[in-house]
Amino acid sequence: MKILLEHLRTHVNLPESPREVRELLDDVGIEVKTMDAKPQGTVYNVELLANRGDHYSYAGIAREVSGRTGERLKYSKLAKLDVQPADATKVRLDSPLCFLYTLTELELAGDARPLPPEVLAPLTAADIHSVLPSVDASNLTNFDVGQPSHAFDADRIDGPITVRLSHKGEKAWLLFTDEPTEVPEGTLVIADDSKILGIAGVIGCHDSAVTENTKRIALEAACFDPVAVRIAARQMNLNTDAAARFMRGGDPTQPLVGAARVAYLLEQHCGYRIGRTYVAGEWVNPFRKIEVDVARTQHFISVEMPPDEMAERLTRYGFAVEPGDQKLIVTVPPHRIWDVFFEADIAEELVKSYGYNATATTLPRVDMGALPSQEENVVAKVNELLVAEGFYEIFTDSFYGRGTRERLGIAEGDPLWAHVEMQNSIERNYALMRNNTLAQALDALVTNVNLKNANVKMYEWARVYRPDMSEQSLLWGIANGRDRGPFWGDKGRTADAIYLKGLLAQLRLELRVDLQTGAANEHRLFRFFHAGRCAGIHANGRVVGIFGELHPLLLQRFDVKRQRPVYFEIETDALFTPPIPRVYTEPSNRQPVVRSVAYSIPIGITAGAVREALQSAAPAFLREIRITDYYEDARAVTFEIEYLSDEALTGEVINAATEGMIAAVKERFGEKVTQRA
Amino acid sequence: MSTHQTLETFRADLRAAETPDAIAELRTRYLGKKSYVKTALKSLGSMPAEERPKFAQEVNAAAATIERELDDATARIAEAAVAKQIEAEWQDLSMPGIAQERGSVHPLTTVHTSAMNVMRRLGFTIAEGPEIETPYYNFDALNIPENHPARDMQDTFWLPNNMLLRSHTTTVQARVLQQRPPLPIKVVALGRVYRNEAVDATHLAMFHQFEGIWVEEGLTFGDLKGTLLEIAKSIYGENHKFRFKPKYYPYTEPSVGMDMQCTVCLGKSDHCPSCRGAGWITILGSGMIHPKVFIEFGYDHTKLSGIAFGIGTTRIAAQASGITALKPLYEQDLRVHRSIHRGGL
Repeated sequence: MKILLEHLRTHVNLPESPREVRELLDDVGIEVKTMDAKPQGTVYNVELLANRGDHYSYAGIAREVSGRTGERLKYSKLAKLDVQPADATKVRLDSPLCFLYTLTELELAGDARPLPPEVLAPLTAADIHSVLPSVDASNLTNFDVGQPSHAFDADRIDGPITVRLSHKGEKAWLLFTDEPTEVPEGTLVIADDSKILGIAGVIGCHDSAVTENTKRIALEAACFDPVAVRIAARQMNLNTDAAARFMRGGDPTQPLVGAARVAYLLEQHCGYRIGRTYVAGEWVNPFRKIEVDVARTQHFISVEMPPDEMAERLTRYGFAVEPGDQKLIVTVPPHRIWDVFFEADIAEELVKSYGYNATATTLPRVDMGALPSQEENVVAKVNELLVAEGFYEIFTDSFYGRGTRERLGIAEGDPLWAHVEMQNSIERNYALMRNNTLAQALDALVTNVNLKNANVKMYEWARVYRPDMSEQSLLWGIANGRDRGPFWGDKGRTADAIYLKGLLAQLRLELRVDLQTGAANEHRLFRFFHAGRCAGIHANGRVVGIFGELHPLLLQRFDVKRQRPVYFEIETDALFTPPIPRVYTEPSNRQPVVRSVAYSIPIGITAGAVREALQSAAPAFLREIRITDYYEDARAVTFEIEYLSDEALTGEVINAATEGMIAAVKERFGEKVTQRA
Repeated sequence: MSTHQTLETFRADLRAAETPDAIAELRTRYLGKKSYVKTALKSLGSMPAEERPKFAQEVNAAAATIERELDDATARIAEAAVAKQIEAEWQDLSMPGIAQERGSVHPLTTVHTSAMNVMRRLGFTIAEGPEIETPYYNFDALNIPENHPARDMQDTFWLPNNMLLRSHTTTVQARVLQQRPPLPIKVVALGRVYRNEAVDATHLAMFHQFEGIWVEEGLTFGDLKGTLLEIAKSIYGENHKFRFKPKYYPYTEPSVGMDMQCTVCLGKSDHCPSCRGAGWITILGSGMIHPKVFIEFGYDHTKLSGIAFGIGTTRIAAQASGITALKPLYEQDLRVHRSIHRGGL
């Protein structure tokens, strides 16, 4: 809402400097977003508290200022109205959703004169153009005292006015539209005998609107149920000042004030005569009373405020207070019936009045701090390990567009086809909640490759969302290019599946969780991997992750050219399991004895299987079998066998043991696996 | 050959010796079993008794001299060899260093870690909750009933079966309160939240929040302010000015906004691009937990009170990283992340 400083001064005394006024408005919760010097004077664009319908006017803002400063409020001039109850020939209330309805007759005596520019200044400052005197006066009054009103052309009304719910299929020709539109059934409307005149509290209609030829006006000023107005505005997608005011809760005592203000403006400035005002409905003030415990409230707001001061400050906001030393009985005024219910609400008024920055600032006593949880420690360790390896942590969106399924090559019927689907996303790319992170990993890679950075290492702590609305937390990472560097003196090796396996081994060691590599074919993403270069990550007999090189066809679909990225993901629950207890092994006083044996191993037989064969015939004093060399062209693998015993080991014993292990390999694989010199 | 001649010959040979092996050969030749020294000492028995002491003294002195000069030469040659090695092993240290370059955690993680450091000192622990939520935890339990304007404050992503994506991490607080843990309750929830907004440089459909609640008997508005100051100073540093202002959040009463004085104009410019002349930048929202929230979960709001606060950590991370837009934080251009991490180094 844009407000004119000079006009606000007609409602309450303010500091001289516009900047001081700005700070004062901020201090009372009327947040000034911008402050502009305009021909009419200083204009503030203010953000009002979303629950306070009474703020939507100069009078409401002035009341907040008065509550803080104690300055007396100044009131707008009103016409004296000839008020009488409406009978059925004038107004009928057929719905309890209208609390009070007033209709004031106004008739033009001679030619209509416009409102003077100085009177219109609050509207022009808010960039609202002058339309017709009656419309301008209505808009001004809404701004000024916070009571929306609507001027009908009385000569276009057919019979008495009825406030009722709309019927099925009923249409209304709303203002600013080209043709009648259907009104949702059950909407609160203002109607005459033949048509809808307006959507209650939201907007009027074209076929009862005032025009330049209008001589007689029927001025509506009413108060409607906030929920009814909100539902109507939402269903019909209408966003008007009146609706904004009513849906936050109107003041049922204000319609006559609003009518009197509009009438005053039209009579004083525009040449209208005021006729009778008819009132339908009888709003019963609940006089809600709140008992305020003085000591408790003093403690709560951190101010030793005497009860009489509390009472005085509350009256500035319109509350009535029955004084007392221990307790105050506070009556909620009609303009606050929608938001004040509890002692805490009263406390808020007192703090606002005293000043949010003026109350005491304390820090409650803390007996003991807290330690990081196991999960936090694991996350920190993983972060440290991956960052030390050159990985960057990233955050990707939790959703993607429907086209992602096609890019991944997922067809209908595929287990990954089903997603949690957004019902109302305004962005096309947010149609589906992701059920995998692979697509985003590849997009991230492509982004960097296109920026001439093919050496990429990224990871994310992410969630994926299953069609049953459950969520799975996982850690994923992607690497491409070299495993380190590349440096001028060290090109490193390719960041391949073996590299990821090494990372996982480090994770296992660092976290002390029982992660094993094994078959990958049970993992839901298996088909996206190079079948000969991937493995599953197993924990407690379950596949909890996968790692390896991505499938060439998948890379083609994502337009990844000349790159061989590797990807891993692991369910975080597998990382958060309690660590395996540490066991210390005393180092031996003896030196180990080492023998080496090399084999050519054909495709289809793993080095691990050969190692297992060696191990199967190993003596008790075998300490470790390590792979120390590998020639890819010949698939030649060198195993280093380390023996260690508390007894002295002779060369004969060692050689015999080694020969036995070599024989075991020969027995298992025959000529397929050949020993190299 | 006399002792004197032997010494002279030795010295001539020594001058010609340039390697450790040559020195070793001289040591054998002049001090070994067949050397003049050993032979001369063996011959003492056949000499007249009165000549022996003088001769023995002369030979021993020569032996000591040879020994000393051989040691000196050994040291000299070794030193020269090392000097030569050092010269040969010169490295061009203008070449770039070689070590695995570290990556970096995300700036949001850095902010969360800093905030958690202070929260732990105050006894807070982390609680987690789902991102796919029911309207009950996102709205109704937090005093945002259906058809209340507050629902418009947060454009919601709706999912099938009347589920939604949480629009704030306050949902976690609702779930914690529902569990009725023992008092005091001190939990922090952090993570992704979602708003169905058109995305631009400063508006995101997904961003991060960091929220906390502290429920205990006797907590006051002053405690709320003190706690907020402690958190803000831990994140932004001690040398900033802060202020509080009334706000509206459905789940707190009173509700409080916290501003930090604009670090660009220090509140002195009406045209500052950072604060748009306000002089202040809002950094967090907070308040005392609303009685209706306590009532919803069966607590006695006349006896208990609670502090609640929420921080949009995405904006803080952007500020700390020195970037003006929020979107790059959620993009995967590693040049951006590297630049943030290196911070000009």
